[in-house]
Amino acid sequence: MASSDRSVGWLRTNQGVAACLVVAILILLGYLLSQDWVYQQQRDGFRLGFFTIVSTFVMLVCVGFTLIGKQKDQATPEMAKMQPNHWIRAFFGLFTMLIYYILAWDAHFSQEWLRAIIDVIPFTGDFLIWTVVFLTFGMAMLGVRPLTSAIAAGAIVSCVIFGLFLLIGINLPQSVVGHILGTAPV
Amino acid sequence: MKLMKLTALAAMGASLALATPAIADGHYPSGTIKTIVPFGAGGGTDRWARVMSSVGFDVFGHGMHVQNRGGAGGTIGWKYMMDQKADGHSILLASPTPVMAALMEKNPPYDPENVRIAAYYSVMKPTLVAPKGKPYSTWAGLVEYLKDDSNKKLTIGGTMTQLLGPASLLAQLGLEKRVILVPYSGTGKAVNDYLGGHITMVNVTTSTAVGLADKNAIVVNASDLDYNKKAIAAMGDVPNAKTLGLTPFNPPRFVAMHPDTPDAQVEAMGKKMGELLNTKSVKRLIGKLGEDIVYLDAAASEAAYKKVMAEAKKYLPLFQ
Amino acid sequence: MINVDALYDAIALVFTWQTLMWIAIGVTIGVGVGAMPGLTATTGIALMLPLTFTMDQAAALGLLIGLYKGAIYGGSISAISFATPGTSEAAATVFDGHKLMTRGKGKKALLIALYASVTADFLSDVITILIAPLLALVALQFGPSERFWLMVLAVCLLGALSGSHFAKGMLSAAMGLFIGTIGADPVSSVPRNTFDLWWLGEGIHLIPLVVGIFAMGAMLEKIVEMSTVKQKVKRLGGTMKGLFSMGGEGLSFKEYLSCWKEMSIGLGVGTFVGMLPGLGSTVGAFLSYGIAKQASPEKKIGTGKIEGVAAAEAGNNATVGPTLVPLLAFGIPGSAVAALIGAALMLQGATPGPRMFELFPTIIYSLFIILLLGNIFNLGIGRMFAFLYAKLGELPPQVLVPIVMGMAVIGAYSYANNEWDVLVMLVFGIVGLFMRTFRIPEAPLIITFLLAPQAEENLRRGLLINEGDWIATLMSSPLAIGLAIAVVVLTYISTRMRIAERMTEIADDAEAAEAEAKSNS
Repeated sequence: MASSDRSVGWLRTNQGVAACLVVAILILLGYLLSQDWVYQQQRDGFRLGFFTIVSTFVMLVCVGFTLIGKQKDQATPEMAKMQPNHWIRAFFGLFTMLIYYILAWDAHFSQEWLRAIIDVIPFTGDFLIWTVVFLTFGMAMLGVRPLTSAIAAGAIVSCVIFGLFLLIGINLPQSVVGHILGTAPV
Repeated sequence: MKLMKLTALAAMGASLALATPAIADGHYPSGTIKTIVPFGAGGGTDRWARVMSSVGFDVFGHGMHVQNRGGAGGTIGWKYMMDQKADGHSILLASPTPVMAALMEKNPPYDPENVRIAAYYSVMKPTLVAPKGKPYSTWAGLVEYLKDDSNKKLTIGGTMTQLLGPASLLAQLGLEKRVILVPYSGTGKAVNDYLGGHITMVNVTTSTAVGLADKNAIVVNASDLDYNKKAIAAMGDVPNAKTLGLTPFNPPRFVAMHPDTPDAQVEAMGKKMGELLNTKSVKRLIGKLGEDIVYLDAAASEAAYKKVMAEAKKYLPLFQ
Repeated sequence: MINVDALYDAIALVFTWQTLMWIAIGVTIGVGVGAMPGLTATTGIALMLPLTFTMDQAAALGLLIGLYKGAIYGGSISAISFATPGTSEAAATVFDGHKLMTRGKGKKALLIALYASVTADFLSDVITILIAPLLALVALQFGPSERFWLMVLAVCLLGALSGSHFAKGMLSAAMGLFIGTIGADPVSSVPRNTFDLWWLGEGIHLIPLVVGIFAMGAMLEKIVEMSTVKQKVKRLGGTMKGLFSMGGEGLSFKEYLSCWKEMSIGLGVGTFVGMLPGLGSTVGAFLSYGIAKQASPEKKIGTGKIEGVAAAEAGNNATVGPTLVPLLAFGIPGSAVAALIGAALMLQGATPGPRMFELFPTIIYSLFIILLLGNIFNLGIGRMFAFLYAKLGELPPQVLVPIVMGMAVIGAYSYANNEWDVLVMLVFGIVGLFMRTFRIPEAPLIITFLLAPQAEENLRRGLLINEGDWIATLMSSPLAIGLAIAVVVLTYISTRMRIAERMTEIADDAEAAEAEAKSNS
């Protein structure tokens, strides 16, 4: 499967990754075993946590095999290429999506502090505006140049999605635009 | 016909026909009613919501904007209702499911008893179905059968809400230990196992029972409400909790509102709901879906809700 | 037996321009809905249901069934074009479909997906029409213990899907099991493994899980790739227009025929899975894919083969007709979609049930004709969409990635309007990226996530019914014993095959090393 490129650090070999996973799974297992619900007996005799604990053990065993298996010194080509800043980029991508979701859908996850912040920002809960912003930002970040073409592409795609959903009858959040078009429920 | 087309369009939830700005003229409601369905599109409650919202404009003078907020056994939708303003413009079309889910949860996100009930719009009639020609095919026969310890235990399948019906009746006679309650996540799966002979009896809603009545025996109706004409024609005379002199289990479908909603608005919403359920179009569509309208106003439904909560809490431990 | 008058009436009802138009509209909306990540056939049908309040019978059924068929196929379009399964049942199509796309054979993949879908759908509809009552009786034989063994049998096929590193395949399966235990205990409904988060009380939903692991995983990987190969980025940006005008390699009739084996597997598996309540088309697709892979190891399914696409797509579309079997035979809906179609029938005055054939023969015949006719519409409309999406799939990743990410958010949310689902999707996005980089196969996770909770539920239900007697639970009927034997046989065969496969792999590796050594020298 993979290149047994000795130049990659140990942490990125199958063994290295498996070692990290072992630690993570042990922490998970420790957490689970400290929970009361795990030991709660059900009407049919099974403990509430039985299958969860079994699956965690199986995970541990599988990772154990990876740790000491034949391919332990190899690294997958993807893992070999992966740099810490790549993970940061991926997390940043996800974080951007979360922010986009919060702003476009006015979502506060029942958190008062989040609601307070959202209330200050204009146009929250407006799908069209924030989708244009998100798409343009995303395309620009990934290298679409000139910026005007990113803006144009973002705007066109957002309008198409918005229009399609309106036709199907799925409610997307709409405040400003909805009022102008008269399509927003109050 | 034209009106019906219009109402259907409104029901689409496509919001196109629903646009009306809120006018604060002192009348209630003064704007669109946010109608929260605590389940995904397509379930039983959702169908009620779509039918109701199809005449919402005629009754309220404002549209009913149906919002599906599904997930976590209905608790997401209930929690969402609690997060809305208590101004009477957000209602939750609730069923026993989110109530049960909250009762099961160690740290529930809300107290299912701290809520205002504007109206009941239906009450389910948990109906026990058994094979024909068995000693337990009638209620009297079932009781006799269970009293005799030498008989094998019987298995009853159904959703948890439905199962609470026969469980409560049997518990009142001290016979709950003689049956095995087998919970299912959906009525379809339970009926499938029953028809295949994998469980002895199944507990279902009226409309499902009507479909099974042809080739099966209908044992008991755990509520104290009579069936509608069509159901009586199909199932004949079935004893219910009232005729048996037992405490009934009446799982409701109800309109819930934020606990801080002023009394006047809760009452007004209850009355409007009564009007809505009384429209010809709603009656016709609900009848076709095989469901019954059972309307109670705010005061009556809050009292009934307290009773059913007490019953549910009493018998839920039977499942644990 | 056939009520000829009713059949003529039905034909007259269906072949009106209104009904045909509604079927076309249904299929169009369906393919569109299916292709959007997160939007499923169920959502689409639920949204359209109120529209049928005022339609006549045939038009109403035409719209809904057309939409259903379109949506099940539509999921494959985005699975192939963007590695983003539009619906969970298309997740198995990603494996081979997207690999074909990246090799410039997107058109071929999209066409085999369409033809396999329509072929299997059509034939399973014929089976449904001919022997629905018989199928229903077979389905009834499957009680808790039979179902338990069936699930175990299905999970045993995992071996075929676990990829070259067995331990990693099993790790993926264990992860699926772990995620599957989040939610309510099947016997007591008490929440478990929820990390004290109330919104996990019902467990993780399939849609955000699939969108996260497949779509987000793939998009994040693309982001990472783009940051490693900087030069390529600039060049791709410039050739946007050129890519748009590109044609593509089509599908020959011979190639279509060469997939007969995979389509037959899909047809059989899909029909069977469809008629059992509670399994659904996702299971149909993955099982069919797994069996096809196991059945012809020489075809190397999984490395970007049209046979893989055919197996997965035939497997999910073949569930469409049979899903209606329990509804028509007993009036019990076996799935959410069947429940909605049942509601539509009730609103038209025809209560589904065993007497439907006597009481409403015209509606039944209309339904059957529409089931068959819908496939033809799917073929035409599906083709149009396929080409449109194939072009979109050729957009440069800098443009495509943000769009798919946005769509993933919309889809994860719109599925149930549940804000926490978006969070779940994002979390599984990072899990998906990790699985890709560490080469943990995704299929075992999805299969155990779907099947293990059902296996547990049925096992424990069986134990409850049999008062804790394991023997009575596991060996309750000849069918259960037969399935148990099948599990043993299958495990034996697949272990042997696995060993044989390893041998050839080792031989291949040795050959390759030799060749490399030669070329170096």
